[in-house]
Amino acid sequence: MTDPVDSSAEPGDAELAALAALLHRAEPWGDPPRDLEDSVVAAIVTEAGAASDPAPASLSEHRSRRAQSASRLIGAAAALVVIVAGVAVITRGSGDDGVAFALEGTEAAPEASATVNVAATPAGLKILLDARNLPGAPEGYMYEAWVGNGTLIVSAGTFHLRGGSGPIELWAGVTEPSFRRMWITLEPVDDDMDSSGDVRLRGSYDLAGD
Amino acid sequence: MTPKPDLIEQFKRGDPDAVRAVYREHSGAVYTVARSIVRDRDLAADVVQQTFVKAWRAAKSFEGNRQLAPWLYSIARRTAIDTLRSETKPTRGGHAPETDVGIQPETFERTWERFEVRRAIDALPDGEREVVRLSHMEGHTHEAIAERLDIPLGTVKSRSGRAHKRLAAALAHLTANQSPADDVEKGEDPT
Repeated sequence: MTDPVDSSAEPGDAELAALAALLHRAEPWGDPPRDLEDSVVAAIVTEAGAASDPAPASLSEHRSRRAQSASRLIGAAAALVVIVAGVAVITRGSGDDGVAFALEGTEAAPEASATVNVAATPAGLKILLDARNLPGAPEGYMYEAWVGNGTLIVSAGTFHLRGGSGPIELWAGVTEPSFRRMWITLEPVDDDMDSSGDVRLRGSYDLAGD
Repeated sequence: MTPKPDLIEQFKRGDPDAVRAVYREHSGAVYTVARSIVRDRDLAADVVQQTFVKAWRAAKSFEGNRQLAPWLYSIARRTAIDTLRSETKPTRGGHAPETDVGIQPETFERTWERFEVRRAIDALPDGEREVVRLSHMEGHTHEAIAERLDIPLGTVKSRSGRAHKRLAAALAHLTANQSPADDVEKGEDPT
């Protein structure tokens, strides 16, 4: 509720000038994505509903692949909650062609780029990746695709491109619309399940079409 | 303003309507803080999501007589700085960091100022907020705003006058160079 204006408190010129400077300095005008509200509500309601789980995955664990099995369970529950919340966008991809977007090369691969098509299916996100100027992974390394929503990160699979370029089909077992970011890392082939953080391509998409 | 105890209790329980209400009241200010630190829209959106999830997880320790906004601000700033550090930390093998975003976050006072300004703007009635936005963000004159919104010039002037009175009152503590609210715990992770 907005308070009534006190007509006796007319701001003077100096006060208005200070206010204008403050508004200019603060740059307070941007808005978060429109679909973020549903994502936040879904994440919290899901976790609240999973209160019987004695050890929910913590935010600090969100980059650990060891936490991904728990994350996948939470993600699946989130998908159910999103449906309950009335967000129908996750079913949109089951019968259409998904959304297309681009990945840009990072400083580690400035010449690389990729076009991607992501479609939500009953089995999860179907991802078609067509990379350009991304060299084959060196021996002992592989590329790994990831999708995330800021809280959870899910691997969408690995590839090496040593046989040349061409569309690659990847899958991520999530159908939750808050997963809007995708990136490709170069990973050593070892038993370390965490992301190396060596990002070669990155981009974002929005299945809601906002 | 002290939050309604019922709303906080419902938020603690994860009630969807309460979560949505808290989000709608504070997401703009949280996003403003996040953008000012991480300087990236996607990362800022991630920070907003993490902030509200962290706040909910920590809500059990939130005392009902405290103000919600400074508490959320502390979580948002800490989350944004952690995100920035995570995105810029040296990675295994010595290669380039994940992004080239800046690594010097703004001061506590500066981001608090942004947070408070955004809260004050979001608290304005819709018509007054739009006039302020068009005037200060896009630099339009009252005449241009009247034409753009298709409303009389006098209406624009009266809305602008009322809005600036409200903002001057709400932000007097900033224009007078006072310190952030006492119950904002500097540098302490409230989660």
